Amino acid sequence: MINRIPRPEFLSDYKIPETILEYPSSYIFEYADVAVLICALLLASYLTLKKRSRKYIFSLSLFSLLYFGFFREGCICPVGSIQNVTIAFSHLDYKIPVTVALFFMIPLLFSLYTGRTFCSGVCPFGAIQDLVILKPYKIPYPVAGLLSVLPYVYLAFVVYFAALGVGFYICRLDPFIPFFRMNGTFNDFIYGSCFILVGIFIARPYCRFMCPYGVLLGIFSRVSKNNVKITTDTCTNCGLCEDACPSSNIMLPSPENTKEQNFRQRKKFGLYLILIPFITVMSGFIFQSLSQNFSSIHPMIKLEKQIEFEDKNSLIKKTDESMTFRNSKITMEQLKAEIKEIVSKFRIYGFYAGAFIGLTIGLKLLGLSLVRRNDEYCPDHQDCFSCGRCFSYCPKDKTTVQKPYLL
Amino acid sequence: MKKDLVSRRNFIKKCLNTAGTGTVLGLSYALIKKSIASEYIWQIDPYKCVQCGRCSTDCVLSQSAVKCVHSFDMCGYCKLCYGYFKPGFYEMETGAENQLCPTGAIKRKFIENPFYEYTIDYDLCIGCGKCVKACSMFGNRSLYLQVSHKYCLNCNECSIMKNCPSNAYKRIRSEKAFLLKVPL
Repeated sequence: MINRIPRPEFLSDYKIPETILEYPSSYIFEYADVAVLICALLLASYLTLKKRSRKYIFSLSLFSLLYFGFFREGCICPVGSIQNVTIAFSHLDYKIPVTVALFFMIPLLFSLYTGRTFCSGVCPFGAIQDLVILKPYKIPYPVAGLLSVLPYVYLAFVVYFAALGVGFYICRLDPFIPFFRMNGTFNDFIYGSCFILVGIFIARPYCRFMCPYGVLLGIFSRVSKNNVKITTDTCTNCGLCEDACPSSNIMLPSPENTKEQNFRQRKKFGLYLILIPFITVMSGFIFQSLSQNFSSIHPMIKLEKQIEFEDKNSLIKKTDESMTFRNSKITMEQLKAEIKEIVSKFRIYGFYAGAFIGLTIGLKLLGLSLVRRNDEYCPDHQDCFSCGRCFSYCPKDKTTVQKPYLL
Repeated sequence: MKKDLVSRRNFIKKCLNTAGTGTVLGLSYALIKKSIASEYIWQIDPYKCVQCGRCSTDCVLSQSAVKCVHSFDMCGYCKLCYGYFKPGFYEMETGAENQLCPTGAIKRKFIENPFYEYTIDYDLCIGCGKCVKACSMFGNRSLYLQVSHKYCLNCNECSIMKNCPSNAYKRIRSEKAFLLKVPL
C-alpha cells in the first residue's frame, strides 16, 4: 500500500495534530460489580437463612434489578458467563478476564453453602420476573416434569454452539436485555413482553424452563450445607405453605408405602438404572447424526453455501460476505478444508451434547421412581428459588404476619 | 430406624457437598490460570474492514458506538476530499447537499492553499463508513472506523460482530482500546 496523495508540506507554522480519540473512562466498574455481587450474595443468604423476611429479600432483589439490570445494563452476567468459560476451555487463544471468571464461580460457590440465594436476591432476570407474578397458576405435574428437562437441553445447546464458535446464544435469546437497555428491535420487545406476560400467570418462566445457569445452581443447591426452610419450628403439616409457592416447589409429605408398592418401586428403579447408559449413548448418537444439520448454522458453512449458490446463479447480487471472501487471498480449497475440520468437530462435540441430554432424561426418569421419604412439607432444594413467600404463610413461624404479602 | 435414614441422607449429602466444593474450587483454579487481569473489549481491525455500513445499523445503541477516526498523519489534506464531497460536485460548495456525510459530522477547516484540515465530530458520527469507503478508494485511507469505548456497552456478544462480513471485529485487551493504522 502506498500513499496515493503525497503528504503536504506546509509553509505556515501548522502542526499536524494527534489523532483525536475518546478513551473509555476506566474499567473500575467491572471490579465494583464483583464486589457488589459478593455483598449482595452475602446479604441474600443472611436474609433468607437468618432474617427470614420476604420484605427484605424483595427489597434486595429490587436493588439488584436496578443495579445489575438498569444501571449496568446486563453485561456481564453469571448466566452469560457460561459461554465465556466454555470458550476459555475450547479456544486456547482466548483468555478469560478475571472478573468474568469470578462472576461465574462466586454464585456457584454460594449455592453449595446457602442454596439458590442468587436467584432470589441477586439475579436481575429473577427480580424482573418476580415483580410480575400476580396470579400464578400451577402447572399440572406431568407437563411441569417434561418442561423441567428444557433448561438442560438449552444448556447443552448453548455450550455446544459456544464451544464451536457459532455464537453466544444465551445473549441472543436473552428476553429481558431490551428492557434493561430500553433499546432493541421490535421483535426483541415482543419476545421479552411474551416472557413478562406469561410470567404473570406462570411464575418465573425463564428461570424454570430456560435458565442454563439455574441448572448448575440447582445441582449444587441440592447438596447444599444450608437451605431455606419453610419454618424454623416443627411442621404441623397444615399445608398452607403449598399455596404460597408460585412455582410449586414444595414437596408434600410422602405417603406410607405398602410392601408391594415398595417392591414395585424398586423394580422400576433397577430398570431405569440399567436403561440410563443405554439412553445416554443412544441420544449421543442421535445428536451426532443430527450435527450435520446444526453445522449449517456456522457462519463459515453459510458462506460456502452462499458462494456455491452465487456461482450457479450468476445474475444474483453478491453479498458482502462472499465479496469479502472473493477479494481475499483465501482459496476455495482452504475454505473447504477448514469447513471439513469444523464439521468433524461438530460431530465430536455433538456426541457429548447428546449424551448430556440423554443422561439428564435418564436421571429424570430415575427421579420418578425414587420416593424421597419426608414426613413434613419442605421445599425442593433443587428448584426452590428461595424467594421466601412461604415464610409468612406458616402459622408456626414467630415472624408470621396476619396479612400475607401480595408480592 | 427413622433416625438412621435421616443420618444416611445427611451423610450422602455431606459427601456430595464436599465433592461439589472440590469441583468448584478445581474449576476456579483452572479458570484463574487461564485468566487475565484486564478486560476484553471489542475493536475493529481497520485493515480488514470493508465498509459495508452495518456498523451503523446493527449496534444495540440507537446511535452506534462505532465512529470514524481520522489519522492526521496519513491525510493528504486534499482540497477535493472524496470523503467530504459527494461525487460529482466539483464546484466544491460546502453546502449540506454536497457533503457525503449524512449527518455532517466532518468539519472542514482552511489551513493554507491548497490544504484543508478535516476533523470528525464524534457526537454526530453514526459510523456508516461512507467517508471511509471513499477515502480508501481515492485517498490515503486516513479515515477508518473504530469502536469508541466511551459509548460502547461492551456486550458479551457484540451484535455488530455477529453480522460483520469480514470478521473485522475482535476482542482486544482494554489497555490498548484502539487498533490504529500505522502511517506509511
